[in-house]
Amino acid sequence: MSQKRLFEEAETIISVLHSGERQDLLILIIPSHDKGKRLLNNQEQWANAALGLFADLFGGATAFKTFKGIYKTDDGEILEDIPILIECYAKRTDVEDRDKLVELLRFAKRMGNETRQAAVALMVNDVFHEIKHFR
Amino acid sequence: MRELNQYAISQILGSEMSLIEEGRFGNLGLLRTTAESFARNSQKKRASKSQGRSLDEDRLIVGAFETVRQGAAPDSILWDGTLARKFERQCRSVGLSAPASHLNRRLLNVRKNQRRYAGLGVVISPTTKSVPHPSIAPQFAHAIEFALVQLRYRYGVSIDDVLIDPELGTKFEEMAGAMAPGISAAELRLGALYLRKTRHCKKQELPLFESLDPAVLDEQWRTPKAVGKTARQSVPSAPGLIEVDEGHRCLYVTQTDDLAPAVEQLSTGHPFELMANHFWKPHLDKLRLRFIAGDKINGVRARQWELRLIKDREPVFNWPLCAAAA
Repeated sequence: MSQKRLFEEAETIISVLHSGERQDLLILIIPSHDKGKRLLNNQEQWANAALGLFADLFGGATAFKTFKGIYKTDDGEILEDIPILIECYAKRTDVEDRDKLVELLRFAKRMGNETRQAAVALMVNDVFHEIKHFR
Repeated sequence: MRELNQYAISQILGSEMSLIEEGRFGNLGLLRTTAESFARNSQKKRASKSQGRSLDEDRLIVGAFETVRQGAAPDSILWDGTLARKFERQCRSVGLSAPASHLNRRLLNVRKNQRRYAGLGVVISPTTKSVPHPSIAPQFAHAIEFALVQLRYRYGVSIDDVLIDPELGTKFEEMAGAMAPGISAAELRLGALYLRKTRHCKKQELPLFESLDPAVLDEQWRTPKAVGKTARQSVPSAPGLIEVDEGHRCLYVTQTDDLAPAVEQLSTGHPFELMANHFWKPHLDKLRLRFIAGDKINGVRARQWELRLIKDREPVFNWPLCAAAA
């Protein structure tokens, strides 16, 4: 019986599995409301801009519309949201690239400031980063 | 224990401060303290050298501009593409290798701080060529603003940033040009400059601005019509105020010198279709357009109302007011 030919990509996948090389998951949350519970006019514009940013920095991303989100502020106030999640798997070298990280943070802070957020959430793998200072 | 006030000590010593790793008592920390001290010293020397080099570069940049300007104002590089390219080429020919955006910014920085630079011997000679006043064609004002707003969302840039950076400038021209075919790049750029100059409230107008109540306009708007359903003959050729909304939210507000062509362009729906993205598609039957004719509304100039509405309604596709008025 002849041996089945592997696709080139299959070889790559196997070699990556063996090497232990991993990619990192990045998630940026695009809010729908401000901290005063007002609906944002322009959530779609921020989501669209974030997709473009992720494409430039990490080679692509996927957006997910969510059902509901909830956040408790330091003052104990409950803020509800219907966020859009921008997600991507990125190379470790890209995630650790200081310039790229700064550009990502600059975007997150600008969005937090302009959309009057209590915090902007950025997840890197299993760590949830709350960005509360927007300057 | 209260922290040591290094600023007070520095004031007494008349010294300049640099942050270094904290020293340790005795020989154990000697090596690190010495290394830190040498490192700081050489950094300072490098910094002072680079400061000198920076001034030399400014001199070269101004010299390059003087060679190609033919009397034009330094700000001309923001809208005159031919001059901007000549300036960049001249900079390269004198050995400057920085990106064009950097060279443009440095030239404008010298222009904005003429007195300080004159003291250092870097002088831009007076402009002798008349400069066209930035203006905006009523029917294409939205194209310029929509394109700028898109770039702002994505890159967080100012209007100056867009015009200074060739890459961003080209993107702007392409986006605005798609909505305003036949308009030259220079006209689009002059329109952007016009927007930059007018999208703020003058200090002396602030009390009036703060006192304006947009609810006053409610009875003066012509009945809103779906975009595409506004009869051309019902729109006067006069100055006025236009608003486009999408149910719960405002999309765009503009004051125009001529309502007819501006409403005609917006009524095609085409500009909004070009703003569609992965998350938003315009449904033209859900976009409503309304307007008020008049240079003054309730005794207040339409431009003031425009600024007030932009501040209050935060339209999705308007360039926001600068902080002074916000």
